[in-house]
Amino acid sequence: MSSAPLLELRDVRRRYSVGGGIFAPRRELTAVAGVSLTLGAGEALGLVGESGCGKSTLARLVLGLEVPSEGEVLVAGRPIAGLHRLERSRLVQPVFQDPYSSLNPRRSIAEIVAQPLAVHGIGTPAERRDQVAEMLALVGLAPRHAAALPAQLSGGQRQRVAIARALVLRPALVVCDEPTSALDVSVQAQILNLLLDLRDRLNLSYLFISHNLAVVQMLAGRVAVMYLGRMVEEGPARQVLTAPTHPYTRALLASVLTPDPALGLPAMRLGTAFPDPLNVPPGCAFNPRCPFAFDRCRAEPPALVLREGGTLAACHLAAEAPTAAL
Amino acid sequence: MSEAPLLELAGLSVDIPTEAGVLHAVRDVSLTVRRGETLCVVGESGCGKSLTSLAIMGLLPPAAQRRARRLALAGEDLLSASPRRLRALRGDRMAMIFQDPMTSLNPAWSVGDQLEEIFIRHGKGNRRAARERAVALLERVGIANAGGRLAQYPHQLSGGLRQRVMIAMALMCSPGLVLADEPTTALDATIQLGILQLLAELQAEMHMGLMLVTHDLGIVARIADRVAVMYAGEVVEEGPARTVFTAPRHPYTRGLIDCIPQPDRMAPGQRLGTIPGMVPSLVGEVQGCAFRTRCAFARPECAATVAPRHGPDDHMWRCVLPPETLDHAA
Amino acid sequence: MPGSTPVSAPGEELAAQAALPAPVASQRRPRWRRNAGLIGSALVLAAIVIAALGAPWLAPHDPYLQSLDDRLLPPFFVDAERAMPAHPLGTDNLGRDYLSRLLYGARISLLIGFFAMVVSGLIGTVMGVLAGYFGGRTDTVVSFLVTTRLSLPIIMVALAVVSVFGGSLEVVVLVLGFLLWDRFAVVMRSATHQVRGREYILAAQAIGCSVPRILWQEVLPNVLSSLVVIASYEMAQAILLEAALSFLGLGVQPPLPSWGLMVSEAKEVMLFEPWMIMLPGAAICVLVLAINLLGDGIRDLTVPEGRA
Repeated sequence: MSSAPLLELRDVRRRYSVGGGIFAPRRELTAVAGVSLTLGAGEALGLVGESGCGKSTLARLVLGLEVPSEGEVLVAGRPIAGLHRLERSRLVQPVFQDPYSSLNPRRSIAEIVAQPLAVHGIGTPAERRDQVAEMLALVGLAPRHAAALPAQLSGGQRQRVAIARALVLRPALVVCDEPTSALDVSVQAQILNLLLDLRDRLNLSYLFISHNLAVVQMLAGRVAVMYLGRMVEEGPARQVLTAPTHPYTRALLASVLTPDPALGLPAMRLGTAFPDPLNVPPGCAFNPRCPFAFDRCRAEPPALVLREGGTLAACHLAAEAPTAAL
Repeated sequence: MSEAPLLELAGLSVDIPTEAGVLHAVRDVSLTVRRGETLCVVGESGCGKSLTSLAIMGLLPPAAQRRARRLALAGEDLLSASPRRLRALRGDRMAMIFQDPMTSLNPAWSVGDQLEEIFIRHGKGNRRAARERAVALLERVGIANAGGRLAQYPHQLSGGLRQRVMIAMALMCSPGLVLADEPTTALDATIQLGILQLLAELQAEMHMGLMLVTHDLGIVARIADRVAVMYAGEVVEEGPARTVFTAPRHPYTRGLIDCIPQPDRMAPGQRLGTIPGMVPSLVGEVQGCAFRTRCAFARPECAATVAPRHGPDDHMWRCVLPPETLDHAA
Repeated sequence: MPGSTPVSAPGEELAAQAALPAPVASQRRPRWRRNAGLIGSALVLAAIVIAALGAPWLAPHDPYLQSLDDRLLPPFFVDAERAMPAHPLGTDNLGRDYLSRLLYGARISLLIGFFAMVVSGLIGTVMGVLAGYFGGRTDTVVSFLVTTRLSLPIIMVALAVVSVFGGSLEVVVLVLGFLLWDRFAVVMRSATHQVRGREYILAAQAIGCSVPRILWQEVLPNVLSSLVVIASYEMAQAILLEAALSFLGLGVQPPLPSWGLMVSEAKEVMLFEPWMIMLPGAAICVLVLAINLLGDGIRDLTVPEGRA
């Protein structure tokens, strides 16, 4: 079935009801406010945004661990939230941010990697052992690590274990939620290289979530930028990273600090207003921090519009005037 | 250079006794910071960079043992100073900004109380003067409605605002030296940029010495005048930022730079440089270059003690390789 | 014990290659050997358990056999001249051998302590784990039940129950079991809640694990160390409460040789024969202390190395 994309999000919304003490009424928090995306087989989509932008909620929605309040999350053409847990887990697997928290400290590495096989009743114990050995080799761990406990491994090795566990069921889609942001730079480089190698060898699709555009650019062919639960820009990675349209994308790009001493600190200035998903400003959600905001931005939310170069961007400024040079 | 450096540190060692033996967490570290200069101490987790800054402040955990040949602030010896004198200096002449503004601000006191207390405790003036100073500094660090913020408590502020409050707190007594330990690591990228811009501006404005401890070479390259690269408790390379980044002399520095994804310089799908292996254990005696186990250029003589070498511009490195070995296309 | 595996520091392989000193983990004594409280309490507890199990063989006399000729004989260490070698710890006011009664009394204490702990542990753990894992409404219900339970005074409830059903071993076990689960529920709830937020739970869900499997394989092993501490604490608590209830005549009924009952029986002659009250009292003390220390020791052992 080549027609259905591997992953499709149709105007997905996710709301939570939060708070509600004795005096405070319960309030509604919209973590994801109408996101549409598609991801084809073998593609990698980078999802960029900062804390509170809803990207981790989106990851759980794609994994089928949460049900959208509105809209649909389709994996291989079927709504993921409606699938049986065994079925959905063969389609999508996660790699989480914190390798110190994502492995059960009481189980050996071999048990952790074999667990998906055991849950799904795949193979005899001997076959599972072989498959675990194969997976460990694939992610660059030595056979003797199989008997170790997570506490005996370094952060990078643990993240390799988490990747092995995610891949042992041979899912088509891997959701990487900030897989390197808890690691040292030298270890981050190893894990990013590993993810690239694995994609080439296993023809994986990645939904790669990160706050760091430079890391996303390593892996993703296309990039989507989120702000306060909304998509503000989406398009081919090259285009978004070389000619960003939305002021927020530009700010994100400017805040990637490459080790070039000739450049100094970029001059980009954003307001200090903190993006609070409980208190989304009217109009464009980004307007309190945007250096270019004008009256229309405070009144009317911008729609995602296709620009030159094939990117979608939600910004009144870009709609009215050509991209101002920074 | 007739003026004495603001911070002089020579031969600092920090030993931590553990069950397995003595952990040599910091080994023979020497650093200087001048007025109006930013020194960045960079390295990966466990390299001893945070312990170094705590040792300078005299805030090491009780189990850690500090030894140094010299530790002086603006010419005043801190090694022989009384605890009372040290308390008077901390917060007044030297201040520290920590990584996590949530845990380093006291949740039981309002922002205003915490800012004013430092000012009053160091005898800089009365409550009214303290309040004026606090308002002025909060405005300076980019907090709108500063007067209103004084009555707020840390949990009412976002991470970025808290870190701005921490910076304002560090500056209450106009210290000559500010030590910042990973001040932006817990923050989002755009917020981080704002904080770094602020630190750089304030440092120039107040002509302070700034020692910034970080693991992020990107930050270092953009903000540092001088860089000290630490590995396994030792400074393996130190020098002007421009020199260290364009012509690194230690393979570890080279490796760290190559690990960083650079969107504008790499083709899609291109692999990053890596440093294979892991940091060695620092328990027991450490002989020779600690990086030789991971170094592509390791030679037999690396197992012996490696003397520091010096280049122009106070550039120092601890490596036996001929300087031109690492000059590949950067 | 999963926690007792010797842990080598990161970087062992490279350290070894480079002839940098490798950590000497293997030369170190295992962790349990370094914990004096654990070893001591385990030995004491083992001795008491052996004494209780072996009471029919170890006891020199039938603990119920009365001999009015040999009433109130002192133990050898109180009055060596009057003491009889057949009754090394003397006899009580009905002439029953005190050593035998103490040995059989250990059975009652351990039995009640253990089963009351098991009953309350089952109730409390199930409630606490479910509340911590599911949160929301389940949590509200469990919290309400805990609050309700905490508002019941144990002695008063025990008094009421015993007056209705009469005092017996089974009644005491059940009363204590149904009254001591609150701490299990509270601690298991917070421990589970903490584990619930870890990413390996999310990973297990993504793998397709069923909820019972997640609770059994992912949650339970990681809350076990708190469970052990609470279990030891509650067992000690149950033993003390049994002694108190028996002392008040609400627990185990005579002529069963319960330590609490022995204290109660001895109180009438306390001023003349103080040893009679001291022996069972000391036995209760030593047993409770040993159980508590053992719980602490096991907790220290199961905490991951270096994070004590």
